[in-house]
Amino acid sequence: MEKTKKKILIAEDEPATMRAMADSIKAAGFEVIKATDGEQAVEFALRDHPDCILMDIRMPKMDGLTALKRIRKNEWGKDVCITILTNISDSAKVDEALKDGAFEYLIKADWEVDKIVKKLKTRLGIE
Amino acid sequence: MDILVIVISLVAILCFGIGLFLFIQTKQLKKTFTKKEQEMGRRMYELAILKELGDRIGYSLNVQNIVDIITGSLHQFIEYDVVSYMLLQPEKIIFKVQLEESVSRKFIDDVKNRMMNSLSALLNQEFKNDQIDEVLVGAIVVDEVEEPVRSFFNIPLVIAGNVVGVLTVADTKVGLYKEEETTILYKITQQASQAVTRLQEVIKTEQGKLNAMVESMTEGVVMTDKDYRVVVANPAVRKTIGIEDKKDITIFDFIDHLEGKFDIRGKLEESVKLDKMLITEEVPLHERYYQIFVSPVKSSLGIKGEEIIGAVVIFHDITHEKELTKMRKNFTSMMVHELRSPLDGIKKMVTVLEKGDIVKDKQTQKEYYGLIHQNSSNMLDLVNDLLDVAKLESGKFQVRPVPNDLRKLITESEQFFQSSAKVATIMLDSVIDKQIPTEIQFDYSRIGQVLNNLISNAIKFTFAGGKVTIGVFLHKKGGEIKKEANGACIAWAPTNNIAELENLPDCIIIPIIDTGRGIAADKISTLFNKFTQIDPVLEFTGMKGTGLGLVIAKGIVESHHGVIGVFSKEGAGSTFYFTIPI
Repeated sequence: MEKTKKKILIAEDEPATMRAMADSIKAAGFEVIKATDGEQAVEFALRDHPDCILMDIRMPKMDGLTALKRIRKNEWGKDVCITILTNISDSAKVDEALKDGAFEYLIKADWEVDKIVKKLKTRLGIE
Repeated sequence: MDILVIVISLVAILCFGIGLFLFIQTKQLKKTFTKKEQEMGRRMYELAILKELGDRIGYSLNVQNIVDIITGSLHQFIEYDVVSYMLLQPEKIIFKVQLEESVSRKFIDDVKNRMMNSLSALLNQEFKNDQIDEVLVGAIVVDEVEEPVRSFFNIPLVIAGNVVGVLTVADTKVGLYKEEETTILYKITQQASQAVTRLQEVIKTEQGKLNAMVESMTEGVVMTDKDYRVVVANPAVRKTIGIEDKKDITIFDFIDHLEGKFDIRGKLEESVKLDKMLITEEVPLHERYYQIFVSPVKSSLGIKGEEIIGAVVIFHDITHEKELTKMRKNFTSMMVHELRSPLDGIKKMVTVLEKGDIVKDKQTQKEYYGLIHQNSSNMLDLVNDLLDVAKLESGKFQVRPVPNDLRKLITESEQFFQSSAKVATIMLDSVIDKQIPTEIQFDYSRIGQVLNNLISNAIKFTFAGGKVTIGVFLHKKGGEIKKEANGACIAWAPTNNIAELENLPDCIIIPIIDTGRGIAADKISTLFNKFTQIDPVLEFTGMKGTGLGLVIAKGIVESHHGVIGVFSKEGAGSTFYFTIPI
């Protein structure tokens, strides 16, 4: 069972949000990798090869969109599912993210943790 | 907007000046009139002409109009079959003939030849027949009338010492023009010419003043006459469109250099046609943005009322305003994000707690409550910061300075930050001058807020292994700051002369010296500004934060009548300092 656990990378600098999401996703049977800034997000993604990445935009050291671009440049990162999960609702950012290869752009406040979990399950073909 | 009003007002003042001048002229003439009663009739006539001349000139300096007035009324006084004038124009000669009696074509040609000869003699220049633009008015030409020119009188029209044309009366009768008639005609033309000459001088002076004003304006101004010939193009407009060195600028230079981004010719025409100011909101030119006003220029003195005499285009640089709007927008969206993020975190935690199946043990619950508490405190701090900024902006920010122990506050602040300095492996130290008084007037919690902000920033932006020093020393009015700091064992020497540190009164100076990354010179000036410091700080450091802390710190220090500032060099650390006057 342990071997088949899908890996989710959460890049999020807001501690409460990170904790609530990480605990819920873990409870749903995923393995969770936590990155608290953009640089870590790129580093951990390329190191651990997660099945899906939830990426915040506004983070210390490197913003999420730069991290997205960095990951997409890597051979492994070309096709990995990256979901932008942010509280920045700016149409220019949405366009930029989708152009740079984000799978989708979600507004964090609109997405309860169980909805995010459900989305991940559907995405990764669990259930 | 303002500039446009000034320009139009100047034109109006100019017209008023002309009116006033004429008023004085007429008054002087009236004096002469009372002295010589026997010449009353003649004078009356002269005055009538000059008065009319004056009124007309009020809205036009056109010599032809003036000569038309003279020729239009001359018949009341002098007898003639034909009165005519020739006026020199740039490309042609206007030849206007007013026939009181019918004469033959031969008669007119004779007059024409005589006038041309006279004009050639006066100007020492040959004129060709095809240069002449002839207009006949009044009675009709009848070739059967074979009477030749028997009486003829010719006077030059002189403006400002230059011959501009000739005026002629001619008749078929013999010996009509004796001394009396010729004297009067001379006088009239001479006075008209003098009036015009003086007016031109007045206008030249006024135009000089106007030009000087327009030249010095920071807004780009270009004025054209009715035919869109460029009359004025100030240095600002030359710079704006990139024709600083060119002489004799024409409207085509503008058309070429505006590269289709603004249809100057079209707008000028539209503005004159509609008699209305046109505003184009945002025109990008050479990496800057302009708001462009196009307006007709009117002369308000004239018989027909207002008359459009040209148009003006004003280029108002709105690049800065645009940047400010952008910053304001960024600020607002950042604030929304900064409030929404922790609130969303709280909401997500509460949802998870409520479900009860994920967080089961007491310890995890405690951790959750801790995070919720942290987020709500952060939000509260942010809201308080926003409130402080709002108070600062509305002038309602207040501090309560009472006698307090500064040493105690410094020590407390230093101790408070020791743990976070340790985590970041930064050495935090304070050096307090023994000379500072035990009690100083200041608001304990507000100055504490300033210290906390500056110390936390210093730690945040200093690399591991670096050092942060809080210095406190006494400054005497006129004393050398470097010496005073060194005397108190504080290694700080302000690197460049900053106006804020000159002429300081007796005060305590508190520098917070770090060995951090430093700040680029162009970012320093905007650090204490509400909108502008946010982006640079974030871009440069990757650190999160609203940047309101420095704005509030500045407000607090200034409320204590102190100064706040920074010395920094990129890569060589920063020193933020503030003063408390004693």
